[in-house]
Amino acid sequence: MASATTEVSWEKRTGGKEAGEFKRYIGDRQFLESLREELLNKYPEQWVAIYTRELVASAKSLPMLVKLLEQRRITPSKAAIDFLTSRKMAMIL
Amino acid sequence: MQIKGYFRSGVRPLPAPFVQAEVYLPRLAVRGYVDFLIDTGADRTVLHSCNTIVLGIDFRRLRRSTLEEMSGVGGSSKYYREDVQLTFIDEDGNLHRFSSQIYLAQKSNPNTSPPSLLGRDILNLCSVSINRQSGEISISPIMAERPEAQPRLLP
Repeated sequence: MASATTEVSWEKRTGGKEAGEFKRYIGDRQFLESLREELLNKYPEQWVAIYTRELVASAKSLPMLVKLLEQRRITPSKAAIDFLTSRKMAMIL
Repeated sequence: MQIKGYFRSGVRPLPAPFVQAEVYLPRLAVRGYVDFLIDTGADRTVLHSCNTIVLGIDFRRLRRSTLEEMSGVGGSSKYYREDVQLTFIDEDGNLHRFSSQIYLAQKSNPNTSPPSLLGRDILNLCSVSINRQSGEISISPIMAERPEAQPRLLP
């Protein structure tokens, strides 16, 4: 069973280098979203990764994409990654 | 100083509200960015396979003693609990960091994995506005209005 309580604390900090990297990631995600249809046509049923507004890898499986990024010395969790498919699947969470 | 989200279509027939956070799991020394589905139906914030694979989570390092069963529409699943720092960025470039706990789903096929979910454990501490018609999503930590606020216990 899930625990009854969760302790949460919050703090606010000014940006700096950390914020710059965060903004870069958000920009990469926006770039991916803006190109989604175009990328879907080129890489259907594939995972793609965007880093610094550049398509840096594509693969048919996510583990393979992660390997390709590591080979390019890109930390996978710093890239904007998504699976491109034309199959729509309704989700009820 | 609002945290802005966005609408994503992807595999879903209707655009869904997402927001980005930096996730840091201190015990595992894992850090990376995650796009969370803003899910007011979720009691907990969870990471699913599409993100645990990208984050490079070593499941051998997760503790079986933290496994908790959670129920959803599709049935129940077990999740590993970990301490987490979730950091969001607002329009002015300020960082908002929540120290909490997060739940990691057991491994599954990432192609059909649900997105990671930002649940009410965090959302209940924020004012959230989602307006599909204007395309705007904004999140404001309520705690920000009370800088003296101490860690809280959520019911």
